[in-house]
Amino acid sequence: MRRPAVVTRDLSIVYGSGKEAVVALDGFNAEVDDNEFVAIIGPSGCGKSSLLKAICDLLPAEVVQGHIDVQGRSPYDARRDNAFAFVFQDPVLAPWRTVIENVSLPLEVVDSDPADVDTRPQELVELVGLSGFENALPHSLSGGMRQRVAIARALTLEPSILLLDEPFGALDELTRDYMHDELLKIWRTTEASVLLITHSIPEAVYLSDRVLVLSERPGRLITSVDIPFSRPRDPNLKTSVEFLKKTNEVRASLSQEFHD
Amino acid sequence: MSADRGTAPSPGLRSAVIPPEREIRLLQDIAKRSLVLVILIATILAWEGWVRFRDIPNYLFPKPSTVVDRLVAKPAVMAEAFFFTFFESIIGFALASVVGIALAILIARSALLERLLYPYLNIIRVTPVIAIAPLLTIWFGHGILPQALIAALIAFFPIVVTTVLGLKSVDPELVSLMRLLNATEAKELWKIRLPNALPYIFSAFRISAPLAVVGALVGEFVGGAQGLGWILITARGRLDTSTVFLMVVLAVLLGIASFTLVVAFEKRFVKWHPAVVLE
Repeated sequence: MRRPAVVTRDLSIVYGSGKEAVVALDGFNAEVDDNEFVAIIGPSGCGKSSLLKAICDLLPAEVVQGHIDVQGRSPYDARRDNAFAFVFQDPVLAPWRTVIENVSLPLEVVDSDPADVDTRPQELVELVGLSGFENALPHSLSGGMRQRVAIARALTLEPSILLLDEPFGALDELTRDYMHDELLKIWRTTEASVLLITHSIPEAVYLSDRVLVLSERPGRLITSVDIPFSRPRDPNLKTSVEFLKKTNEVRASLSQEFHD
Repeated sequence: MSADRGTAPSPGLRSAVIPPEREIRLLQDIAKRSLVLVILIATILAWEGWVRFRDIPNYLFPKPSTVVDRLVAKPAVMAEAFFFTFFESIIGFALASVVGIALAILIARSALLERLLYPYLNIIRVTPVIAIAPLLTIWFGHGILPQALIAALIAFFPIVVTTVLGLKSVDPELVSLMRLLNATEAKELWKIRLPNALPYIFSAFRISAPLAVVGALVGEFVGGAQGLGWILITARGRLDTSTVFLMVVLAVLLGIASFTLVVAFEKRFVKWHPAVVLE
């Protein structure tokens, strides 16, 4: 039986209380299937980042209302099981650690099998295409390379849920396009479900199985757009008419929000 | 030096040859350093000439040559005093580092402890060591201990405050990642917070190491039985101003030596920091 990876029921996120309360997310209902790639798109400040943080138990309990279920557990239990990995817009690497040391960091923190420590980071560095840069320090790498290190580090403990918060937001367009295909290639080697936050409609459509469109603050789910394109995806898809139609569909549902 | 790499071009060709960027910079560097040395030597020569010309007595203003004579007369005694004071300041500095960093770790993890301890830290900071020095001599005698303690007291404050800052200024997203990994507090400290604080700790060391030398000298003034400070105080009693001058010069060299040591360690251990990378 297929069990959804993440289910939210009437999820609201409210910062502060009384008159100063800020509702970041309001009654959000969604499901993410096992091994599904879901993109979340919406205006700035609509609570997208808060949503990701609530799912992986990074928010204080008092701001989260409603129900979140992660593979049949609470977010807290899922976090205790190392179910999550997070990639931020900035790579947040440890600047004193080399590429391979950054990728090994999660293994050092969880006291893992020494055999894994020996082989896994090297495999991941190769997977993200950074062979030869194992011993480079972050400051000597380009933005795209640093973000690839962050992605490799996120995969170190084989998470079942990958949370990506605008991971390509700081990259230039060419690097972005390249990273899209890299991410899809890497994702195919994993069993992970992915929740991707993005501000780019083409990025959401190209990468995901489904795009969730959120309204302005307080964030509500406007619609869920299925993306039917077959996988693996071909970079030429981005210039096709069908692709343009899909991005227009998403764009229409986003702008509808502003005109209502 | 790589300045003399390659063969020198013939005079006729010289104007046509443009030296590579790096060599120009190296030459400029050497020129600057030589200029500093030239100024120093010129000052010493002017001083020597002026004192001789005006016939100023040694006890008022000694000639550089007399100061050098004092060193040459008893090189072993001077070297011993130099290293004795150095040793005291290193013990004091080490003590300040261990206690200071340990205290900073406690303060960084507890806001309550921070509020409780900061007033006392500030009291320690504003207490003139020269006022505590006699007390320490009464309690601990004339050995190394009181001098090392004074050195530690004076070096302690910058280390605590700056280390707290370094431990706290970790990227919050990196802390979130550690939380997702269920890192224990000890792991977070060891893997993230302390390495992050290292450049901060070294910038405190740059200030504290020469301060520890000052502390050791103050301790020797008040209750020492050895070292540069003790020789200085006894020489002053004999109106041997040349020896006083020599002690000042040696103390300056000691301060420079301690600073240089810190910078050398910093270059070794904080290779990754932009400030070090740029140097």
